[in-house]
Amino acid sequence: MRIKDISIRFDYYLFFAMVLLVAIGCLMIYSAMYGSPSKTPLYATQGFYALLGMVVIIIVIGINYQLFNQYGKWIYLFSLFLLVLTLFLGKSVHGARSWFPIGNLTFQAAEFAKLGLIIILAQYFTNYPEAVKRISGLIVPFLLTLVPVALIILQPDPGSALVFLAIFLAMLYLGGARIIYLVSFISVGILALGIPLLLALDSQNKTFFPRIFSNLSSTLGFIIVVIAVIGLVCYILSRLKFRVGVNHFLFTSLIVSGGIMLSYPLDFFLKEYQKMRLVCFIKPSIDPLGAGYHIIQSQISIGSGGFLGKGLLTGTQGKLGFLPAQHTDFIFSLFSEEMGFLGAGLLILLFSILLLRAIRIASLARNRFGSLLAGGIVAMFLFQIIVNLGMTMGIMPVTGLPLPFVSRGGSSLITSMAGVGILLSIYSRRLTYW
Amino acid sequence: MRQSEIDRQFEARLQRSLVWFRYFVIATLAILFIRLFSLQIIKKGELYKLSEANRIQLFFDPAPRGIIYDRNGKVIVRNIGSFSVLFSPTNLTREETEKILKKLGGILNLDYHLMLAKVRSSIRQPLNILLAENVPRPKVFCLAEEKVNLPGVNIKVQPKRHYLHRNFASHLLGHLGEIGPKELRALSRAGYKLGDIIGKSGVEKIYDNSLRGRSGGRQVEMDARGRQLRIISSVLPEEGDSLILTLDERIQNLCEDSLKGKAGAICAINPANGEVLALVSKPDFDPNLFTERLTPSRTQELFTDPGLPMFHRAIQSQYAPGSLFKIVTAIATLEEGVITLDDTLVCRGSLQVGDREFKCWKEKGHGRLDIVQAIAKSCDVFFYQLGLKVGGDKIAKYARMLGLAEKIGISLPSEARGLVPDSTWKKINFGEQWYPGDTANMSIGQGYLEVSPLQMASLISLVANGGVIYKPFIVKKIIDGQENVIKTFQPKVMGEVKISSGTLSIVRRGLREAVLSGTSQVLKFKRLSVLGKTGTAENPHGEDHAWFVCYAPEEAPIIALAVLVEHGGHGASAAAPLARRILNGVFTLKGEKEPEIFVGKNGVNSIFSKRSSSDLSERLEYAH
Repeated sequence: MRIKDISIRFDYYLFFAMVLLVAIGCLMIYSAMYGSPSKTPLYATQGFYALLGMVVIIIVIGINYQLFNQYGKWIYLFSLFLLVLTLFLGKSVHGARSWFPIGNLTFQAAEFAKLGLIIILAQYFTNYPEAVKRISGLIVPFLLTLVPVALIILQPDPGSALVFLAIFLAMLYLGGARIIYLVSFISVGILALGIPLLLALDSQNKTFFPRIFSNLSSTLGFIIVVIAVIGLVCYILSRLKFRVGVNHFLFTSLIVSGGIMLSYPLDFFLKEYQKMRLVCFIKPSIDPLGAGYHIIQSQISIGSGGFLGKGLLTGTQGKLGFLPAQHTDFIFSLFSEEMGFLGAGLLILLFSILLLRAIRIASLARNRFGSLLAGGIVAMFLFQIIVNLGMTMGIMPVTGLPLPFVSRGGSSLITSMAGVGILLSIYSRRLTYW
Repeated sequence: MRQSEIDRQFEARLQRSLVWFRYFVIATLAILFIRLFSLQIIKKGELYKLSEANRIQLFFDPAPRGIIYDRNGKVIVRNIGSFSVLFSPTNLTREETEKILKKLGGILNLDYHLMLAKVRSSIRQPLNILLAENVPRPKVFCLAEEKVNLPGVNIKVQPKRHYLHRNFASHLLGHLGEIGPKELRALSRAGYKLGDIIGKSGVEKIYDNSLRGRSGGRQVEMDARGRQLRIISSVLPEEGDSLILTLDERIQNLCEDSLKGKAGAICAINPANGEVLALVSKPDFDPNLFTERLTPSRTQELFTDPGLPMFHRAIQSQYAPGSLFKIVTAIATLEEGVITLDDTLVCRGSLQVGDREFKCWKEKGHGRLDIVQAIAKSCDVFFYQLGLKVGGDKIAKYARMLGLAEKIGISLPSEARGLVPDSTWKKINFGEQWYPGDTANMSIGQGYLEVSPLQMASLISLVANGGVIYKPFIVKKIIDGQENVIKTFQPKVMGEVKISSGTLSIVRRGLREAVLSGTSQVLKFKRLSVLGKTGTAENPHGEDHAWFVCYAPEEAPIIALAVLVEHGGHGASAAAPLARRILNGVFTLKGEKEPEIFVGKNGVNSIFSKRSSSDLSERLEYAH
């Protein structure tokens, strides 16, 4: 491949949008840590990871992405192996054992596992394109997703686990699954997550629903009543000459009862503070000084920046410590405060360029595997961007997901950049068969 | 071929999915963008204010209130430095905080758990938590020595109101308290704010605006952990203006001492201009109790005490005037020409009015009397007859002319109005007509009549000065911190009653005769001529209330007194001796010697000789 070929086959928009985002990240980490004493400046560490990321990108571009199709199984299994290892050898930070030590550095296996899942799912949906049309064909990809999710929930880091579910849903959709299956999965998720939330919202069990779900027997009773109601509705609909069969009834009942039963382990795994975060998102006034504090302070930071911002290194919310986690989860709030609407708008624009170029790569890819791979990577980025930015602006619950490319953290940065490397690899090979 | 057909189908489906995926990305990013716009452009003002409120804390430095002096420049109320212990547990671990609190508790004798609870409750703003106030000096020194071991503990000096003589003139001076919600609503325009300490009663309340000064403050930038980073701007507090009262500390003390242990009131007024020389109400309270923020329960007791220590009897209480009212009846009848100096009436101990027999206090009767003797001996039957001659409504008319049933306008809160009944009043309130018996009752000051001690002092002043009703005033001057006079209060005439000199001299003769040979003989001095009248207010609920009014000296009156002793019994035995004690003290200042009158260059200038030791004597003119 000649240099000229590469220059034609290289997506400059995507690449430079990413470079700018990484640069903004380093700058804001510098700003966030400005004035606080630390041995190695964090922005320099982040810069080092960025350089490392560049090396990874160059290597990944060099690798033909179709090799992932061949070795996808091994990559996936290796990532699961790392996750298991992390559970035993991992270093605990903020109560989650998610850091895998390599010498002096630490590495988050969960980040790597995201790519592993994307590759294995892309492989599955490429090799069995017709499988998704049946429910039974969905069981394999679901289990493929469930294993890393379970391992990560055990850490416990449910925020990251959500990314895996998002990747799963997006790839299911791109893989051609019927919309009804997607809706079913989402319904089960809402039921499973909604019930623990209800319980947390009304911890005294004063209203009707929390009282039902507070013990197993009344829950089972409730499920039976619901199934009976569904049956009755199905019967009436079929009598009214709608095409409703027994399979519809069974399917709906399965979703409802599955969702409710799933809420039990979820309620068990979710920690009190995580439930409070969700509750506070719905009702921030419930605890304005506790969990609601982050939501409120982040919005104050962003809003007070105004159009032009307070200026680099001069944001009062960030510099005086009112903004929590300002070099990681809330880095966007810091950026918005100091650089204003001009800066924050530009950042969203850069993400738009990155994502839309990536989707373009997905549609231009030489083969189905490339499209699905690119689509999965887009889903990974998109979900984290929506959840992180939404969280800082108070329209998403606080989940502790980092902002790709911008938030501090080597594993996240290198994984994201590797994702960009894969995208560029797909793009550069869009015109060749191999 | 067939395989590639299927592939194409899948490919088309994937491409379609990707188109929808692109729309989804655009839509979500648009939502994020709109939210960003709403926060940074639309809600910017509101959120910017919140960020400033996060960052900037206001600290108020209360201004020292003005000092209150008596007329001779003696300090009555001032401010002292009060030491408060504040605690800011920023940068402290829980164990450290607990250790420090334990140590503090040891030095200050404070309950450790109480302090801990206080610190816990303000954990988000762990700043300047008030742990103790009015810490005595030796303990402050102890804390200062231990300072190294007590990080986060600050000692703050704040001006605190100090009433030098505790219960002295407590009703007149008033007390302080934190501004209430109602007051805040009314006064917020005048610059009052939440948490301000304001005057709640007495002079402290009425002159609060002058006394309070302007509190200073600092805008301090703070970080999220409550560390103060820098002062953005600051304003120094401005000291409040000081008051010089008309009150004479020594007269006030004499009055207070004479009423000690009793319930009642004494008003001493200068009849020549209305200056209040003393104003006593017993039982009383210690206003110093109200300056402590941490122990409100002690002051609560004052409001629920059955002895009503917070009730300002001198201006708020209302009793029947008893025989004091005979002065009014006499003036009314003399002015109406119903009686002259030459007329005499007979007292046989009682008088039949309608179907009721009205008795004189002297059962045997006084025999034949003229009006001078009738006043002097306080003959009831004589006044029944006078009253019946002129009629109840006429007496009421004169009573009102003389300032009764009306607020005189003393510059103190909640002055009582009193009550003078007449036929219309009775019709409205009882639906009954006015009987001659009512007139008889009224002419000796019983029945429905109600007067306050202040009104009686004003009445006797009016007799002394020939018919002028002065507004009783308490503050002579307002001076600022540099001792410049800001305002001087002049005597103010509230009303001038036209009384013929003949009437006046007859009444005065009667009052003088009362001292020389009548009911008020306790007040007989060799070298001081006092004019006085006793009174006894009938009390259906218990012991009668004792009244006494007087003024002295006869030739140039400088003091008019009204004394009320609740449940004291007869005026002559319970109230008049107090007046003697007071006048004796006022005119001699010492013990049992006969009083002497001090005459200055311009006549009777002052009641005291010029040996007043005074904090301000050099720059204050002594007498008005």
